[in-house]
Amino acid sequence: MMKFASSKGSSRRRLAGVGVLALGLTLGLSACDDALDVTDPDRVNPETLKTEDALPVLVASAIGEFQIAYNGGTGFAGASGGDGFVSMTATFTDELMGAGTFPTRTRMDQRDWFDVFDGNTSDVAYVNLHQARRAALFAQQQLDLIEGTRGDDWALMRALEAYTYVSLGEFYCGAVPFTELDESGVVIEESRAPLSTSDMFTRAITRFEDAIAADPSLDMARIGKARAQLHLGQASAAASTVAGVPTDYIHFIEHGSTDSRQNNGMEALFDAGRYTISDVEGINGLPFRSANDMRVPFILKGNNGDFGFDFTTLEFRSLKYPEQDADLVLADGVEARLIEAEAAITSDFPAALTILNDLRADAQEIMESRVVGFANLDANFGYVFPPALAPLTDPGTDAARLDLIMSERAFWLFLTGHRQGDLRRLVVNYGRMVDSTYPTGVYSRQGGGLYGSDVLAQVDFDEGNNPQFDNSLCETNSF
Amino acid sequence: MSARHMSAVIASLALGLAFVASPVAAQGGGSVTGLVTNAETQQPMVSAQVMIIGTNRGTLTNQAGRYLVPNVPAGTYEVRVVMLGFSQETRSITVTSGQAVVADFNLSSSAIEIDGITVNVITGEAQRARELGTNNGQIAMEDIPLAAVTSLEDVLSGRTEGLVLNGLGGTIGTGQKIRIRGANSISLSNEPLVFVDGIQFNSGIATAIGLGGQDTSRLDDINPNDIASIEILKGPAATGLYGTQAANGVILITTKKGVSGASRWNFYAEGGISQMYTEFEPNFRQIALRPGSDPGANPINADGTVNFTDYSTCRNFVLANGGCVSTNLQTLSFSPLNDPRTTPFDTGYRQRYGLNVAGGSDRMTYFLSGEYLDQVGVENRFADINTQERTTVRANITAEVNDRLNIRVNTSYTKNKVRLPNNDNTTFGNMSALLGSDTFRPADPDDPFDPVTNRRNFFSFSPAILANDVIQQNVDRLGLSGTANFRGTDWLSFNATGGLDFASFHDNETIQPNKIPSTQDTRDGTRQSTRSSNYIWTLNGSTVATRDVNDWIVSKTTVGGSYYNQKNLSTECSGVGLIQGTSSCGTVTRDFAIDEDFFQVVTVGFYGIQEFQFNDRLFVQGSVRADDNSAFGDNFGLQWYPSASVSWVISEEDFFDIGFIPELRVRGAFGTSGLRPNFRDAVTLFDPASVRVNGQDAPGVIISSTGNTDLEPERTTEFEVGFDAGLFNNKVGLGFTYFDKTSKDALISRRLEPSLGLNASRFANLGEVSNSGTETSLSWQAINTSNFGVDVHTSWSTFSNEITQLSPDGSVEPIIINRGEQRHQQGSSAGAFWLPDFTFNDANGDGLINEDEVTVGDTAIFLGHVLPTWQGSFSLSIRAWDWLSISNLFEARGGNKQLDGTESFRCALFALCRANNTPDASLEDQARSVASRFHGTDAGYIRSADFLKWREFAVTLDVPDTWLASVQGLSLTIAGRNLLTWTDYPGVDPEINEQGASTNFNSNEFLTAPPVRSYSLRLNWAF
Repeated sequence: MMKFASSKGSSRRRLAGVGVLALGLTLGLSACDDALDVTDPDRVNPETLKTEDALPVLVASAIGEFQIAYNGGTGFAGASGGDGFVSMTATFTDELMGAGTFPTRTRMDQRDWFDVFDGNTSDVAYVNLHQARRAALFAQQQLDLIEGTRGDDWALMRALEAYTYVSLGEFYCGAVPFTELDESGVVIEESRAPLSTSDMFTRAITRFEDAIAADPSLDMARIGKARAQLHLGQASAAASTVAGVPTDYIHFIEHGSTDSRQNNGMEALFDAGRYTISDVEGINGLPFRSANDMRVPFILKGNNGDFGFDFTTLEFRSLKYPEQDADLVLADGVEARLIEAEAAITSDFPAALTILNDLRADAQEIMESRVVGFANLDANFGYVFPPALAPLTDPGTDAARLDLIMSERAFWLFLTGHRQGDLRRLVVNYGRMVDSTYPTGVYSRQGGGLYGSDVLAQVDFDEGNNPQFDNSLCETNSF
Repeated sequence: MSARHMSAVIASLALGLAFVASPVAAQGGGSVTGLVTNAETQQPMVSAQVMIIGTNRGTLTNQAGRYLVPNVPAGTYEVRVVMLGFSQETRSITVTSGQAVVADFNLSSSAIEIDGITVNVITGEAQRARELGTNNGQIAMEDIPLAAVTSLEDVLSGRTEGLVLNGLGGTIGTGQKIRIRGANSISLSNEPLVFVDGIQFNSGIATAIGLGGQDTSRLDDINPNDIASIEILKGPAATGLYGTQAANGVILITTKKGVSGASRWNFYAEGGISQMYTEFEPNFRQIALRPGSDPGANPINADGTVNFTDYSTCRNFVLANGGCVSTNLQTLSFSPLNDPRTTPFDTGYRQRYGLNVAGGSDRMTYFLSGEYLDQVGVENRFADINTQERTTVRANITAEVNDRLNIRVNTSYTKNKVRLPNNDNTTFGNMSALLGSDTFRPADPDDPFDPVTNRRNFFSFSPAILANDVIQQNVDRLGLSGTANFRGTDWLSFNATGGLDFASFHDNETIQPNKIPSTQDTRDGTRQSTRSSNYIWTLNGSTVATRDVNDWIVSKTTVGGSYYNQKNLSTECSGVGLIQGTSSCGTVTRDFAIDEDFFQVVTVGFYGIQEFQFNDRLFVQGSVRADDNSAFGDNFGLQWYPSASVSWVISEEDFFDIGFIPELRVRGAFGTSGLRPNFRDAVTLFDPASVRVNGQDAPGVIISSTGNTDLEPERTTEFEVGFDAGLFNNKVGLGFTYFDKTSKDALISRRLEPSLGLNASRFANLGEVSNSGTETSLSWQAINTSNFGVDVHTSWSTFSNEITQLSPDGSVEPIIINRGEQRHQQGSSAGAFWLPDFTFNDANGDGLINEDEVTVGDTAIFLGHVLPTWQGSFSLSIRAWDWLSISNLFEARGGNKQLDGTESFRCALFALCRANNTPDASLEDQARSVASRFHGTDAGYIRSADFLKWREFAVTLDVPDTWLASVQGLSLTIAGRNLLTWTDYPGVDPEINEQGASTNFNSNEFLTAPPVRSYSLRLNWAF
């Protein structure tokens, strides 16, 4: 075995060695932080968003988030469309039926959600609407902090925020939290408590009023306010709110084709064969196809020949959004007139009828201003234009008059996210039975079975992580 | 910090130690030489490790079994020889200056491996198994029938207790999940680290193009023929020195190096075939004669479709409700995948050629190799949609620069080009034929290639049409590693290892216009392309001081540091409207999109190890490592990982005297390791987005991640105890290990309440996961003579996994995964199946089940684990004379469940399964279908995934030496893989997984291509 001698002469070397060792450790530890600094060129740091230059970015962000939430979009590289509020509510009601294979979409079509922990398609809109709300709120906060005065941008942000309240109130159960963060990103605890449906509409109205105060020309806020007022049974007030909105006013959710995220989600979903336009769905549905109405232009064109993604269901594709960059009407003068007509059902039906017939007389012009390439749908897609809309006549009874107005709303506002709210009001405000309002009876698609009893959507299971919310609060089969 | 700066730091550390310790001057020397032979066969032993105890001098025996250790200072030493599979021998010698001492050794085989040598890639030190307190897995490549393996995953499967591979599919080029001793993390990867020749290796899955589920594996870039040995460090007790990111275990691969002696060439040529042996369930439809129709009417039209004029569909669950009349019921069935007229499967083939040469002198040795592999998968009847071409070259040089400095340089280059098919969760895959077809016999059997008529035989499009979706991955990979060992003195050595693993990927997908009539985009032609470069820089440096404290205690002190820098840069583009005949993003005409991506993680660590060896039979070691990592939160600094181990060869103590146990080692270890958070998890960041505003594109942002500045790594602490025993003259080796590990501060992807409007989740260190189990191995040299040998090896592992905590205050809801079928729930195993269960009762006794006869529970209950709870393997090797050897490997696994998602879809959504359409369908099968279809629970499709598989066999015929002239060796090997399966799993295969290697816990079979059976013939020629 080797032994090791020790000598006095080595003591100085030992000391020198300790010094070198210490120097090495010092160098090493001090350089560690430098070594660990990783520059990330790919992402935006939050601090850069709190400047005056970033304000337009924040405004655009909120607009983009709302577009995704309300009308979906597509993923990178042409993935199949992502659902939004419009497609979900359309499928849940009688505007669309499924033509794909996803069980979650089929159950949505059947009004029979999976258990909350399984997840449902509706969770996507729930998450996205809240993200849109937060984005709008954040923009408002920064505008307040940096600009100090509330102008057009602030008003638009406030109105978009209000629309998220309306959307969540129309589609989701009467227990939805609207958690808020303060300027430093800390949760405001009292905001975690869920709101009832009426509270959601009330808050929406308050926000719309703030928006109008900041920008009196923002008619989409007036229309949104009126939409919420209808739900609260304030039809006359709603009519007053929109009285000054011109019929040719339009507020679009803009879509584009530069980035797949800009794409019109409804168009992408049809292109991917996920849905088809319904016709007299579930006994109570409206004849969206057989009515042969220019307000619901469509063709038989699946993504697999004539069939949808499931290779079984004929796909009747809407031509209301014929291109990826087709815009969607969020609010317009037509809706304003329809609100006025609804308010006059019992007080002055002849006036209501006049409103409806005036709109019908201008249907071609109205559609041309709202649907890209409407005049050339025949040339571009082989669409056969139906005859002009004939004037309506008074059906005579209150019930039939109500049916008439709701039918007109359904055709004018087809695939714009209004149908669920209308069916809701038929039950809540007008006392109709669910089974005579929503699609019901035998479900005709491959799953078979019967339609379910759900009339509202569940809150996402993950909301259960909110200490002030419990999933058991959410009732979906009654209003 | 630059690499140069880091080198200076490490050099300073080493230099400092050199001055601290006491030097001893060398006093001139002699040499030690000798011959090492196999006691059973008397054949020379190549690459046996020869060590001069108490010094850092040693060598390997050459091709003739001889060794030479020069310049050994005069004195008395013990010389030790070790070799894997043999008992060590130690002999006392006295070296005189200027003279050579001869010491020959005759090693006896041993079924117990306590004296195998491994190299610690962190410190560069050679270690014997007896010194280790942990049960590390060892795979000796000479025991692997190379003709039966084409990838590293084939090598690993079934050969080490505690290591489980999952997700084996039938697609060439795709990877499997590797799990060692269960799963530590709910949210982070559970894949082990991989090192090749001391350099960290990018083993991650990497496919930028969606295939529907499967993913490629970078382990496929390694040529198994280049590997000398594999060591598996199974948990933190062994991997503490590897610091952050090593909690899941470490796989250490050492490639071959030369042996001094004349150049020895080896050429091999191999041909093989593969076949799809699975019989797929047909698509069924039960029909009933319409009232008034002719009972003799043909139920199938001329074009293969159902005659709905005379018949109507009448499925069992409709019949059960009286919804159709059971007149002249018939069941039609057709399997486009089985029917020889329509099946897309045909025999696959492979060819492989390789050449390597090894040799050298006492000063320098070399190993050079090259291999070409070309294989075509079984989905090739209409087009070769699954292919692989791989070329690997390697050059390993070892040089003794002088008697103090040894340098090793390893370089490798791999070119791997694969074409991949779609399958799993996509209708663009051939396996989607399991979802139904319009026809019940081929639409046009005379023209199976007709894309129009043939479409009707399949769910979406015919294989000929689907073959127009061309997906490829091209990989160029460069490995460069260098290791320097410097013996400063006889007791002090320095080791530095550095290198680069560089991989360049090009993933691309092209669909030519008017080839696949699906969406408008597809019809117009599409192109998607991603080019990425991945770098992993590794730098390790250490100093080891070995000194005799006294006659019976040796102290070994090691200090060192390491640096890892992993970076990935990628650019991706896509577009639609491809110009015919082109395949470039530059030739698309609309919807052009481009993106860049960036990833970088840096780890810096320092460590210290102190080991005491008592009489070379008791080994006690303690170590600590400190790490910092760029992925830690800003509020978090150094992470400390302590470890300790003890190993005692108790059989060498005087008091031990159990006759039939000549060798017994008891061992125990404790260690801590970690898993770092993912890149960017600690920071809140936004992604840029383009938004349409007022008719213009405007810049916007969307939230990308909600960060947590307090983010720490997960810490896994493991304790293991065990023993290794040689019985009956070391003819039987028995090993047993119990391990228990707990992962604290487990990163829970805490689902954020959506009302916050932030991301869906944010990581927080909230959870705890525990894993425990046993590992047992039994090796038996049943017969071992010069002419005949039979070796049996069996291993058995058990695993227990539990999420012991999701959050300290219980506020985190169960985390739902896999479409609601599985969840992470406190008190349950990770990713377990939780669904409402059901009962059924044929109340009216009609032999049919309707929805009212099925009752579903109100709440989800535990239905099964997704991680196996037991695993076993059995191998039998037979050696006869000099010219015949036979090996077999069986593998078994179980205790876990798998969702038969394919059958669930077929029954619940498309109603074309047997349960819906045959009069003899069992009540249980009918209830299963009804429960899913009408009551929304897939509980009936959660099936046991237990299996026993005959994994491989090989028969090698060696031409006797007396028949050979100038040739040194000639052999022929016949091998097979995935030969037979015994299982009760009713689906396609219990091992496959919809998402292959790319999922952490999802356990779902869904339209996944099953494993194939392969055979090969290999000629090996040594000269």
